[in-house]
Amino acid sequence: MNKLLLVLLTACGSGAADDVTPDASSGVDCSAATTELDRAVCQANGFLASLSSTERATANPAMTDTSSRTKWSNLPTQMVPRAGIEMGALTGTQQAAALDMMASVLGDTSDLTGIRAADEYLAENGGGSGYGAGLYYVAVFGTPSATGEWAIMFGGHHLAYNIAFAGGVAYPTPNHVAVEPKAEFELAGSTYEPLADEGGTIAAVFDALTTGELAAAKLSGQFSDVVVGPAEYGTGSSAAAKAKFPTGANRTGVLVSSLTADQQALVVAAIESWVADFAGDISSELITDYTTPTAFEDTYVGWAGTAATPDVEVSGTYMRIDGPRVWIEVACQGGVVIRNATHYHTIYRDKQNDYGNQL
Amino acid sequence: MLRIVALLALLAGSAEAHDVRGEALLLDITDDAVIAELHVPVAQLALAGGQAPTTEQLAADLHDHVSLETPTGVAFTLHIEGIAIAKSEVVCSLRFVPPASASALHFIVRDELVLRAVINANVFVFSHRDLATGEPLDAPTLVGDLHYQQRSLEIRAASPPQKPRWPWIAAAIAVLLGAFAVHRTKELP
Repeated sequence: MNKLLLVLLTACGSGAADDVTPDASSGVDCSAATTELDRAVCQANGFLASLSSTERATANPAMTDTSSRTKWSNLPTQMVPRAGIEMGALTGTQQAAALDMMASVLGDTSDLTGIRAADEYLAENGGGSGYGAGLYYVAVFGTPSATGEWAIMFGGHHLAYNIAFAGGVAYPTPNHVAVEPKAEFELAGSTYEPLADEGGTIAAVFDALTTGELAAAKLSGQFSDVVVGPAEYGTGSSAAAKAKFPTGANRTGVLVSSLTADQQALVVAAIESWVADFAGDISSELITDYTTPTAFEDTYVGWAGTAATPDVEVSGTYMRIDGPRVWIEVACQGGVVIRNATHYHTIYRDKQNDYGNQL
Repeated sequence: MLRIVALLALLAGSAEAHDVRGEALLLDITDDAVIAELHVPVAQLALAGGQAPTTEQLAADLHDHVSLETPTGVAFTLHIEGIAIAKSEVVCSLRFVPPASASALHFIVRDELVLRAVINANVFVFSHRDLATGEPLDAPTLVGDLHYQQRSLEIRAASPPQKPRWPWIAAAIAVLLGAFAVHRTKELP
């Protein structure tokens, strides 16, 4: 039924943005998959099967190619190369196979679609050829299987999905999502506002703090970007990133366990807005682990900025959630192409299990 | 591997629209002094100082926030040999001279020029020489980075290889012999 709908939408020219939604279906049939993991394996194999041997050599590096596994960034791909094969170089069918694979690991693909659409919007609104929905790269590391070690990587400007699989468990971090423009925009007849959920839920955490709590949550110093960005780029190791997680006296803010139940519920909602973007089999256990009473006894919320309260419209506004495992940062930066507005940079990491703890 | 990261750190700031690079501190470590070139994004300096940088303020800030010292904590003397403020970047030419009887080859480097205020800032430290051999490199290589949790870096370098002296000695002897020959020629009747 869904496939029929997709075919109909495609045939009718559904108003999907150029280069964001493929003009063909993948034809990959994973209806026999009984679990999300089986479906991810099936879709990854389907994507690889759609490629020529030459394309596959680029899109399917070995798991031992650890340098490539860490080649992600917030920056446009023409400034910082990514691993894998460029979406814009693939046929519609191949692109659809890649996106079907991503849909199998993402419970919610609206950020992926919206961030690529935003880059296309930048290209068409003064950004030029360094931006565009085709300038995103996809890779499958190793051999997809329900039990072995393999990984999916999809990213480009403002986007990095790194999903590692080991022993039938999926690890979805590091996960970088960012967007310019931050506000709702239209592209080819469709309306997008990626990261509205993330930005709204984390701002709500701080909106609900009392004046005293807000003062206690204020971090010293200024933040022009996230702290634990792609520090490990190309190194093949997560060590450079791990060195930047705050320790000792640098772990500051307000303890979540000290907040009321209603305030804590807002912290849970904020964490969910990043983690629950991944499929339920990947995210549900993580959300449980990140939000236990024990975890909240060691989870801080903090913010910084020049405004009296966190204001996402002010450049330099910064908010974060720092738990024993979960690490979420949001930095509001001045516009690069859309100059009169701020835009979001965010990162979601797992202090223990980035890259499945394989790097 | 590290060279790739080093190049990336520089490349990341090459497009003006995305001026997100960290500072780059390029060191040329010799027996007598450490010659340093410090590249700092203007935007980060402005964020740290609250205003656009001036040469005078930068000179004062360099003395206050950028240092080399011996492993026992004795400061090298900083000579500022130039400050060039461009649209997006400041380049400072510096010379650090170790205290008497101390080596310039082993030191602790600190740079809080931006880090003192901007928590997400990075300082990428490069060497123009192979630290293990002292040989000059084709391109500077990353030897470490400073960030809010790693505010100092210990560097130990091998002495640069001495240039062979025999060509100079041979040339000097030839000149002397030539002068002697001319002198003797003039003395001849």
